[in-house]
Amino acid sequence: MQKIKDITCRLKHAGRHFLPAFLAAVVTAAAVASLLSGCSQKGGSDAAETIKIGYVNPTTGALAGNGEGCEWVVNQITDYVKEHPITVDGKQKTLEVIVYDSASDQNTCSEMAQKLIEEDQIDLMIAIQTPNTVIPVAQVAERYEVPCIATQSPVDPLANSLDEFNWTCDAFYTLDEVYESQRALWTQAGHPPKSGAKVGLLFANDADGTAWHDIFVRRLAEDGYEVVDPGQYPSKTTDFSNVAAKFKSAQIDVIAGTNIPPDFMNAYNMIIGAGVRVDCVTMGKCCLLQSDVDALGDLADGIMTQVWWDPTYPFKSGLTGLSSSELNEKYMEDNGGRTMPQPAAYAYAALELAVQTFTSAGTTEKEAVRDAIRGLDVTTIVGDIKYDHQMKGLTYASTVLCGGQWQREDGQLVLKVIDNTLYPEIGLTGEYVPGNATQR
Amino acid sequence: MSRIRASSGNRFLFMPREYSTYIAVAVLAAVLLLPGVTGLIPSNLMRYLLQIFLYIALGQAWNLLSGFAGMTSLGQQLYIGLAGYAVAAATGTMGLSPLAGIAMGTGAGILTALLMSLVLFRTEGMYFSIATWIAAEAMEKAFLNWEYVGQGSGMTVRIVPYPSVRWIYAASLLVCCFSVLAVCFVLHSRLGLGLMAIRDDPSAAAASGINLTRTKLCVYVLAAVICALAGSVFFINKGTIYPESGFSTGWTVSSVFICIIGGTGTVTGPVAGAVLYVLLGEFLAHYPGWSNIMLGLVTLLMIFFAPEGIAGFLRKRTGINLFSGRRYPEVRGERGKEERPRGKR
Repeated sequence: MQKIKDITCRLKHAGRHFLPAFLAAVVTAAAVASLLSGCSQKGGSDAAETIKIGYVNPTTGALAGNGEGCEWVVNQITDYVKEHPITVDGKQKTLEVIVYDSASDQNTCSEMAQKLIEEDQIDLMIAIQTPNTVIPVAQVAERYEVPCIATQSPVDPLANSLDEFNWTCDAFYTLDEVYESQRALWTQAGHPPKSGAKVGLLFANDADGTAWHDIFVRRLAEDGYEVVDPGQYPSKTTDFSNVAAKFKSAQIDVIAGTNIPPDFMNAYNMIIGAGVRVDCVTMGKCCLLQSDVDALGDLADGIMTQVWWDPTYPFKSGLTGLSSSELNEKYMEDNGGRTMPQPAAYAYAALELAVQTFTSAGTTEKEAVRDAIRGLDVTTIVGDIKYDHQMKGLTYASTVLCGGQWQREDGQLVLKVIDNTLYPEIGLTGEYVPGNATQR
Repeated sequence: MSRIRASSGNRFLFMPREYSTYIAVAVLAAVLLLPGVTGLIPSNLMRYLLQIFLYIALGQAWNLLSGFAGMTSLGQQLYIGLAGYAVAAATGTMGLSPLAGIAMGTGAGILTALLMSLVLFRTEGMYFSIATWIAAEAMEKAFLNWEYVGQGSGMTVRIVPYPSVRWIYAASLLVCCFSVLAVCFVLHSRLGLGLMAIRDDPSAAAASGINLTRTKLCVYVLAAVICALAGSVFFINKGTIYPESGFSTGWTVSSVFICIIGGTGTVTGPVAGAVLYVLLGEFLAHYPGWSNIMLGLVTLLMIFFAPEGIAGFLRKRTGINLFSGRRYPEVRGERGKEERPRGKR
């Protein structure tokens, strides 16, 4: 009897704490679950009327300059499709582009790509804006077997990131082409191949720097240049004194590299301070965008870089019929007179490709969409796109690459197209002008 | 004659109360695991849950170090990144299975934790925090320069066929349960008692006969194991790893957020914090640029109005205390008189 009393007493005692706790846990779990499933159902609601495109954009963070103009471009294309619906599965459909911010962080890129696929149930993924964004997003698209249009990532790093790409196609240039385009610029500055000119390399050990570095070292040696390689530096360092000393003692003729703006500013200032005088500087990344170049000011004057797109390019969108210059005028009108950045033009092209894909596929069925991308042969704002190249397991289309130089014009730094060796059909807008910050 | 027992006070059915915690966790795990593996849970819901599970594990690890042992680490990302790279190297370069990758990551975590402890345990308080942080930063720089792991180009997790969401879901649920159980177990053991004594006054603890180094080492290695397990599953789910994403200080920021919001020094805290963190993150994805501002704002509000976190706030208001790691002296032979302090800390 005493034992039973004891047990009931224990039960009561334990129950007093455990039961309310357990109930609270169940209620919380139920609330969370219903909230979550509420979120998860949001995706499919109006799937019948629209085609859904997923887009991860570096709206904030270190790559924000590349992500500039995304919203404007998305509105241009969705508005166009509103007026000219796409016929898919026998229905007229409009386009919905769902954009999430990656905050320029690779972890967030994968998370947002998964969110787009699982929650928003997208029909097609766009992976764009530097390998840092493209590789994580394309990787998720491959895993979930969602068709993916990749662009604005050089082909090599993307192709090296997986053995096989079954759902992703890239449209950009290869690193060999970058090298060749920079070589053409050195040639213009009086340092052709076999001249024995000394090329100082300035590469960080980040994703881009590593990819470029290996190709540059190999090709420079093949072309009879003398490579002055101080080694890749850790990105965001502020001390470039060893780089400057090495460049000074080797008496280099050319500086070549690709760097983010703060790294380049620190390095270049220190190199100039050490008394290094070079005939030409070719630089990727930090010297691509007007906003970055304006921040560099006089340092950027005379620097040469790649031009993938310019308002003067002779291309016309096969979808909207707008020419490069017309598109740029529209952009300037809506964005306070700023020139359309190169990456924004590629964003426009990526969405054009998406629309063309669904027009040609006539369905949202994933395999058909994937095959439609591979079969595309269209003209976009950045030129003709035809996926007829292959690197390792990646199908890609080659896009235009020219050489440009930042020159002062009425006090403003303007990017002039000064070299078209790789794509002679592109018109030049200026001539090479000697002189850069190291010579002043 | 009465003596204080190392137990959490009352009993549940015929067992000491701490067993009820283990059983509750086991039942909860089974309830969540079965529908996940059989496909009853929609995959998007699984995506939410698996993130919550993994963040719970990270929260538990940080909480164990900072909340219970007073070893505030700002460098747990060291083990997360290390495990992520181990998975990528095992599956990609060596052609092993993801499970072997997880095992390698955990092994690497234990080894590194043992080595690190030689240096780290010479420091205390703020110096310990800074040392852990610097160690993680140094590891990031080392990986940036290490050719085998692709330097700055990072690595991709290459598994064919890729583990399904269900697989990753099950793995993260197991990691989460392991972390909760391990932390509960430690807290209910002699080790746990020693820990809290160390947190409150290291000299007094040492004087009472607690082996400081051994206690700290156990906890530090356990936290490293939990971080390594969570990290490896995280990166199987992400698919790509870079030095700056693997060893990102963002991992510490989220662990701290989860613990502060949920309530430090409790086992329930990180659970509540992780749920809120993941839901908030998913919600804020629709408002670019606001994410960090909102997280900061929520943290500030919590610090002002509910400094003991969600778990502490609930306990204060309702007396509910799940998975308690808290201890109440139990006087043997006078069980009828024992009374848990309710409504008070």
